[in-house]
Amino acid sequence: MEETTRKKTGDKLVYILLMLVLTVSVVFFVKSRLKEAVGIPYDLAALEQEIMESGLLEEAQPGSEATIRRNYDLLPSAYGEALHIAPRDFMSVEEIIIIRLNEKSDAESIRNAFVRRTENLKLTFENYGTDQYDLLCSCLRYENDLYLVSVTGHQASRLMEIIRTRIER
Amino acid sequence: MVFSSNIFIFFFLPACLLIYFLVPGIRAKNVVLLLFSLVFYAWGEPIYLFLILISILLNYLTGLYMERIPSWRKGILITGIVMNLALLGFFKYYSFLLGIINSLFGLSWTSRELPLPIGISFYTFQALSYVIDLYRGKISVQKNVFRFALYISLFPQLIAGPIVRYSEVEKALSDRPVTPERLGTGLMRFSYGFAKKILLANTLGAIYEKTRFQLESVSVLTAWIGIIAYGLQIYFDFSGYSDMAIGLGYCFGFEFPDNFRASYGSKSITELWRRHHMSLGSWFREYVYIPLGGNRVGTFRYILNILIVWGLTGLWHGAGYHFVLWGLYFGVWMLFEKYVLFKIKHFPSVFAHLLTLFVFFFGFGMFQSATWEQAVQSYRNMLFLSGMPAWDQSALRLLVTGGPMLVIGGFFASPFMLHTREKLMKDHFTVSAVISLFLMVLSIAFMVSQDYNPFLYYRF
Repeated sequence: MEETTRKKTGDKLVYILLMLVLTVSVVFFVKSRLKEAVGIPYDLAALEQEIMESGLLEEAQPGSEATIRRNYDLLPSAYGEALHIAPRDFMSVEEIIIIRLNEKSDAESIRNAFVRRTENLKLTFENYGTDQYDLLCSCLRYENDLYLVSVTGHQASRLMEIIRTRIER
Repeated sequence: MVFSSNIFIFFFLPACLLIYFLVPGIRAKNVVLLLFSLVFYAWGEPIYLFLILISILLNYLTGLYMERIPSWRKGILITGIVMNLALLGFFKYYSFLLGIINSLFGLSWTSRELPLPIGISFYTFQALSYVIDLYRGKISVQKNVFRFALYISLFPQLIAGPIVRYSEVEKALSDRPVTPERLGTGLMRFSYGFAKKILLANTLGAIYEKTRFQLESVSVLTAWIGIIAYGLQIYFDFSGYSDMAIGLGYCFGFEFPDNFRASYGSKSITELWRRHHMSLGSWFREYVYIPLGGNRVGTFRYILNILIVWGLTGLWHGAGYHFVLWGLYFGVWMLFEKYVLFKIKHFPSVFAHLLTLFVFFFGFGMFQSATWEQAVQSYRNMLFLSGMPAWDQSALRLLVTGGPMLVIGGFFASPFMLHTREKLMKDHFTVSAVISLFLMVLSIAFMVSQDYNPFLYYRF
């Protein structure tokens, strides 16, 4: 009888201990995931509004996941969040894309997608659209731990300044 | 890893089947399945393997100690449920909850959205069914941790359902038939599902994607073509994945429950949801609706129960207000059917069918959207409120190029096709085998050349 009671008490202690170990493990795991995730600073929708209202883009309009997929071959699952301001028509090259990374390891494939897009457009306009070609050649890129940015446009440097001010906050 | 990928079709599945059939005895087969399942889960996001192992351990211990310490059964059950929901809640709803806190208290806490561990909603619900059924005495405790791990992580249904209850596979975990006939039948079902995903869902999805370009400036017709294409894409994608899962399960000796029964052939939303994502519906009925009192309560409480269940169903599908609203929309409509529509005698069946489809597809305006703003914009487009014309040149072009595919999709979603497939598999094995082989080859050819092959379950 006494042995049974002792066994049950032992079971209770072991159960509590196991649950504590599991809880602590989960807490550490969550903490590590959050550590990876800290520092997301800015609402991209607000940034899009700010850019569109700045008047620094003449031939561009807000894009979407579909335009990113179409132009960069990037599915929504490949990135965390994105802002795309797309060229208004086929003769325009003014464009901004900001990608927030899911994982740092995704940066390379996204960087390659940016380069591919610019190079394809350069091929299209080479010996044909001088202004567009020049803009593409002076396209600006920036990246930090969380974001990759590419800006093409007449006011690229001023636009980049706005973007960096926001996403580095 | 996903089923509709080269790595799965050309390497993972053949290797798994080969080794599974070569090794003798259920115990060894279980080990093979468990190892392959863990590799399947870890593929692409190995960090989250830790999470599923935690979930396995948590629920295994919960079951074990519920039996060992009978006087603590209730406490252990509550602890298990709370810990399961905490894991799901954190990884799936973290950003959503933070947004609520921000708006409630005027804060501006910011966070990076964590990548959602794939399939967490499915395996957490499976685990919950185990601990609750164990508490209710409906099943006996699984003392073998490897068998339990296999139940939670079994790769055919791990990332897209169906949600399999422990009672449905309890016996099969220790003793199940593994025969060449089952392998053949299972692969047939798999290839039908694979064709649904690759040939129908992806093609319809490509039509839908065209309507999402410049959401603010599409005509009403384009918006409706988009929503119909999306509704059909979702059906074929989800039911295709379920068919693949059921087929694979059958190959390995398991019998998973049906998940879709030609739901778009229903004559009411109530009926539709009994035939659409059935394993989720029955989960909520068993573990939420009935414990709340079901329909054996007063009218007010009954209405509340329905709204709670459907609000939660919406929330299960995604972390956002518009998902909750999407769920509630169906709850309200079902109440409307119960108290008004079902009381109308001689309600024309064709009209009932069309109304059901309209209501269901209309709801996709919320479901398809990533944000609340997008959902509002979709409805503005569909309801002539965005100031755009009823149709334009691009809408007509889309209708001509995509219209036939919508008709084909409608045909293949009909009950006639379901019954034909079932009859073929049951009574005309050879014909069915030839058809499925043809579909498999065709689908693989499409898959390797397709640039649009989305995985829609990353948010579940």
